[in-house]
Amino acid sequence: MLLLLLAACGGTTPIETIDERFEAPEAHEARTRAPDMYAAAERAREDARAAEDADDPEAAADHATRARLLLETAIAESDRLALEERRLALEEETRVAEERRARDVRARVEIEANLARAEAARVAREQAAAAYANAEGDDPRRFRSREERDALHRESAGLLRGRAGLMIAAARALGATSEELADAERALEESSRTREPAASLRSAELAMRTALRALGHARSRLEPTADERASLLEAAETAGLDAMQVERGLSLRVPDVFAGAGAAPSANGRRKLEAIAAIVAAHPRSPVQVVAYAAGAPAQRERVAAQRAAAAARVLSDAGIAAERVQAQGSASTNAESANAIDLVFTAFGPTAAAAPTTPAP
Amino acid sequence: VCFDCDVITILLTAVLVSGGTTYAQPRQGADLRRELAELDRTREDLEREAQRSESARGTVEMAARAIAEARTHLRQNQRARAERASQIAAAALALAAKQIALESTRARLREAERRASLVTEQAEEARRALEAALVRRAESAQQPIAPPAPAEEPSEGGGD
Repeated sequence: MLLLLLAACGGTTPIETIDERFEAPEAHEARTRAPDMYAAAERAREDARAAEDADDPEAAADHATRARLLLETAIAESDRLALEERRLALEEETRVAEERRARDVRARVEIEANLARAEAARVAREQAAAAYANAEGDDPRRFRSREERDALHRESAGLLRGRAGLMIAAARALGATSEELADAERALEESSRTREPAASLRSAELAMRTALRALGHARSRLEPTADERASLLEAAETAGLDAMQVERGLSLRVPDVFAGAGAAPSANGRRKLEAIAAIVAAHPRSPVQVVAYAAGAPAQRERVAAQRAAAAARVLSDAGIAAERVQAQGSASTNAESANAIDLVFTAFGPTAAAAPTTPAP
Repeated sequence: VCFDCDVITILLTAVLVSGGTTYAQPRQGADLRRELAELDRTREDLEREAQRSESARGTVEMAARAIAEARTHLRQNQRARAERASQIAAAALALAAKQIALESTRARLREAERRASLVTEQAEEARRALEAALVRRAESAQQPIAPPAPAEEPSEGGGD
């Protein structure tokens, strides 16, 4: 039997050879990782020694063979456990990598969606601005005929309705309910039904303002984002307002609100303020400072500027802006350019807010 | 048969319990024959599984020869030698089962490495895409605050 087994093992199995195998580094590993099997191998080796001491070489060889087999079993188990540990560690790394990948994909999709929305809104605003230019240009000679004017009004109304639709979609995406969007959708629908071109244009403007308010209401429930600042900038640009980053916040200059030395807004200035109230409503989380100016002697200038600021703030309040959001402030400084203007300073969008990311960096 | 646990447990229990005692006190022939029959059944099971592992195949063949040797010794009423051959067969089967389990673990590890490589590559790709999107967003956010472009002068007589 011994010869048969030795042939199968491919060599001799004297106790000395087994002892060498027991001293191998992998055997030491096995003693730690597979102690029971290693102990069985040790006992077989002791049996071999006992048989040798008893002068029974055949039994010694059999026990040595068994010891070798058991030691190899312990080593194989040790190797298997080491591989299994490596596999488990690898699977943990894979799990972490998968989570990281999923998180990165979500962040990228969100960024791309925001960029796409901003781009769509920009295009819509450009179209709307073009529509304004067409419809509200002060040169009546541009219209060769009534038909052409009507066509421009219809086109402008269509663009405004498109923009109102975008605002409603954005508000819905931000979580606005159907009930909250009902007014805007109703105004949009009514505008679509209005046939007379000029009336259609007016109703489209109303629909857009109503949609802007709905968007503002939806935004008011969310955390402020840098996108909101970008949205304010784009809205200002569309409305033809100069924007300037100042220490207190993002300032929009509204020119020609007042005429002469009066403290009340002109009819045109009132219309401007009412239109801009929609922008203020669409960015609901920022307090707004209304800064007015005046010309004249210093004492008179300060008094009139304060009155103008209060009057402009009232127009905004009458247009639906919460009074507590608006702070009126007369400015003593003046120059020819700003004398009849007001500045609307959105104080939540200071220089620090301008740099804030919308999505946390992974 | 689970080569990671059951067979190993059964075989090692036999090996560990019987190891070291049989030499001094060989069992009765009937007990030994029953154990050899049990070892032979286990060998048949392992033989099928061992087709995937060359080293295990050789070890199972060795166990088969030891079982045959033990039966021969038993027929010759050499119970001590039969006992030792039986123990060698049990140890060889335990080793074969462990070699099969080791091969199986290697295969799982290779699969885990392949998947880890794939997922890592996908994660790196997702990271690069995110970084590109962040750059696009930063570029978009850093556009200068410019006054609106002046409205186009309406041409005489219209015709936009």
